[in-house]
Amino acid sequence: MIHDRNAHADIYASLAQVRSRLSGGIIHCFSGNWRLARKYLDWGFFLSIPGTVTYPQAMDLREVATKMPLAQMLLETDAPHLTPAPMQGKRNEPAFIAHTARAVARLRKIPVAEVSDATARNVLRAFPIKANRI
Amino acid sequence: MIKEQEHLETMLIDSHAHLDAPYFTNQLATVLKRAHQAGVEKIITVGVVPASTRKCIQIAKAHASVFPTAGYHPHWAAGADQARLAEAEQLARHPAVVAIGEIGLDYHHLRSPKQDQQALFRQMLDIAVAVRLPS
Repeated sequence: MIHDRNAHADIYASLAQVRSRLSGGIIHCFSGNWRLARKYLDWGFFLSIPGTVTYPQAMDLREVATKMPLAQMLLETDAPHLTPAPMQGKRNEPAFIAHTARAVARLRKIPVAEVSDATARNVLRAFPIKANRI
Repeated sequence: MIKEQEHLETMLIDSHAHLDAPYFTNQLATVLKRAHQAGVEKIITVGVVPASTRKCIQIAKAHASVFPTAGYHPHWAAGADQARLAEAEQLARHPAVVAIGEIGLDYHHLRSPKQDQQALFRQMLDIAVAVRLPS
């Protein structure tokens, strides 16, 4: 789970060196533009979309969330940080991930269940987690 | 009936939260209950330093829907001495851990010098390769 704040070039360079030996990659809270997103998507990385996608001014993130394959998308809260717009003023918590799923569904013009199910399934592919531990 | 349907339609996984954050300490059970009610089936809780990773592992042990990662956030790169790095690697090998992270670079806050961040990032990526976990 990669954290990248204003360090796009150096992050990309470090990952390029090790990626053939890595057991997969997840860019958490993706903050790049569509051009950078495509590079990581080409590598088979997952991009994690945070609650800030609910903010109209997050134009790059909204573009990425609209265009990227659903099969490589994860959803995250980053709780207690990055509260989605409908809950503004409160600290963020995992329950609020539903707002992020709804925002992505609206952007892609697909049912919210499709976003929820796909991103949940993706987690089981991105991480060594079994489907029915619960 | 309607309620049950709603629940099924909103099956979700939160792939990145900090359940070890002090904000959650005294209300974790309530927060997890609200998550469950909102259809959140699983939560990945992300370690940011070895002490945080240890807490994440403990939380995961107590709650079957929670999965921990082992990380070392660039904010704390300046303090990443050999002992702490060794601990980070040891925690990365804990059987419950599902990923290496949060790791990376933060040139926005720059709480640690770039050089320290870069060195730590490389070391943590090497650990991810060694333990064969995604990062």
